[in-house]
Amino acid sequence: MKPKRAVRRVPRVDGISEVDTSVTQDRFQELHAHRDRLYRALALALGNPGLAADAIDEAMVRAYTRWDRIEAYASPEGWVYRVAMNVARSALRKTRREDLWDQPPETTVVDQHPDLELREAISRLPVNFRSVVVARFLLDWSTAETAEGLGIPEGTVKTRLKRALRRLAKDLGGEEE
Amino acid sequence: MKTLERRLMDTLRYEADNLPDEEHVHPLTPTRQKRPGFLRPGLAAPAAVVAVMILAAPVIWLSAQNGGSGHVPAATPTTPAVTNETSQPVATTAPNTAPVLGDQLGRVVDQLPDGFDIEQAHPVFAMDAGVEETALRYLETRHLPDNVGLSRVETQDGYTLAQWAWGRLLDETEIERGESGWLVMRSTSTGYEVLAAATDGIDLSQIIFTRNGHILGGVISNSDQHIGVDVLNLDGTPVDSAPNPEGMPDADFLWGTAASGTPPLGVDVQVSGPALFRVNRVGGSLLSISEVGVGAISDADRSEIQDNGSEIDTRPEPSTDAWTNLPGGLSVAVVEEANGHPRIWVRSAVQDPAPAPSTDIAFLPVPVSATEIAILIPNPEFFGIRGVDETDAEGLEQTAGGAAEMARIHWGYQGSAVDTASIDWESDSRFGVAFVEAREADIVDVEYVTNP
Repeated sequence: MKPKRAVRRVPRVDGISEVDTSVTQDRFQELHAHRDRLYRALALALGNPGLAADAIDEAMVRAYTRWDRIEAYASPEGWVYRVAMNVARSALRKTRREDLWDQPPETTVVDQHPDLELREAISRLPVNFRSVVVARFLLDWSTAETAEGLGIPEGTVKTRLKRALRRLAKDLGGEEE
Repeated sequence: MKTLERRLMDTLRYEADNLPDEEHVHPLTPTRQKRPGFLRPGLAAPAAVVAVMILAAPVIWLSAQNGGSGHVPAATPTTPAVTNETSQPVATTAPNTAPVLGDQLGRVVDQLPDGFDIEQAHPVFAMDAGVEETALRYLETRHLPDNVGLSRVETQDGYTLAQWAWGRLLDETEIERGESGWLVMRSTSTGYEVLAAATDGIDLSQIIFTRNGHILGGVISNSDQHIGVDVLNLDGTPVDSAPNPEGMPDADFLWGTAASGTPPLGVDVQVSGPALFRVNRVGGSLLSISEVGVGAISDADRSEIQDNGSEIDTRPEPSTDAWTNLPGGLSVAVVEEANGHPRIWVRSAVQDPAPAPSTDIAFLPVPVSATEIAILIPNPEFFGIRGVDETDAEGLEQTAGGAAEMARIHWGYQGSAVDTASIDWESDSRFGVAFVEAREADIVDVEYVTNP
């Protein structure tokens, strides 16, 4: 049996005046105000500022185009971060990444860097672990917010954080992993 | 002495404050130039886009409220009569060649299967003729409506893009919207070849090609128009493993030999050699064409995956015909009992906005002493395991579920996903090793409980 072609009419524009676009814009701009913060966190988690910038912007565009749904979420910021992370991971998987953590700091920065030893240890963390560390210690997200932002269970956040800290401590000459 | 936590805060803040300025980092993005076939052009241009979107907010918002279509005065399409097309085509056969498409090549490739590599693509059609003649002949062989035409031809990065479209002018003000899309072509010494065809609104990026020749995943569409999928030998005959080799009954053309239905549509076909992967929108006749040649995953891809730090098991993928398609694009199977160690494979065919599935495979060994294995797939709303009946009109996102919910796969029971994110398998005490096949090891967690 041949399927019938689905009728899909272009929606009419009735009711446009009922949409309060100014409120919607304000809410989106509130989200957009967090963009730089999210970008910096993602850049550190991924080790790739260029990719992070692209991914955050892509996520912002997606958030905007479906803002009627996203704004109802508990944490649109977390949604954007999660989408950006997914987008970036997809791109990372397909490219040879240039990890900023693999790059030595500029000479003038070395003198000022607060903790080069820790920086080296962070550079050796897998992206999974680094993402959790960045969410907790840079974004200052709670376990629940980190779970939401990374799209993983809270238990996984705790596990990864614990393992990341243990690994860092080991690299810094502390407890064994 | 500072605690580790304090040191982390200080170091991360310092690093964040000393990131390079954004205007200097975009050129570092290693995507667009290197391998256009694998790039995600959706990442392009975003700051400007966001800024423009904010400025254009009322227009975009109103458009979104009306289904996202910018073609307000258009009429509903009707089924074309393939052999009786008399009205005036909208598309022209004198295509515009001005280079105004931007990264259209990347956008087209982005909609093609995840393993598609434009640089190594097997052509789906070739002809000793000019680009327009070759393109139009190709569309004719794929049985598109007679009034299909080319509206633009442009060369980008050594490839030729030809935009196809069909539709009719109903009167001076109304257009019957047909289908449209793009052909990716390449010149040869004597003519042109078609490397891929894409249909606007048909997303094949969730389709993957596995190392052992499986074509798996979900076809996503921005409409609920019926879709037919075919996996064909190069001579146009269905591959041996085609589930429905006779195609759809009473149809004028062979279609739907691999899958047929409303999107999102699961696909699972194994091929033993080069093949054509073809997707048509169907409504009384074939309305559109998306098509690529299928080849093996390249060694380069696997090297890239390994360089990214994924844990790759180099053992060959076990052959199986036991894949089971579940609603929403998640496919799971218990496969062969190799060496007395059956393997559990989980493949997630994700939906937007999660990244496309890949061919990298993570093997997560589970101790023999484990009595329960729970495979957690985070964020199922983006993994599409809530059931196709819950997809929204765009067919992209699930409307139910939440980020905190998990797909929990226990060994111990066998069933199927219904409308929840639960998949259970039948108990088999012989299980000693379980494997998870997923896109990336880090997005699937495996928990297990050891035997007390």
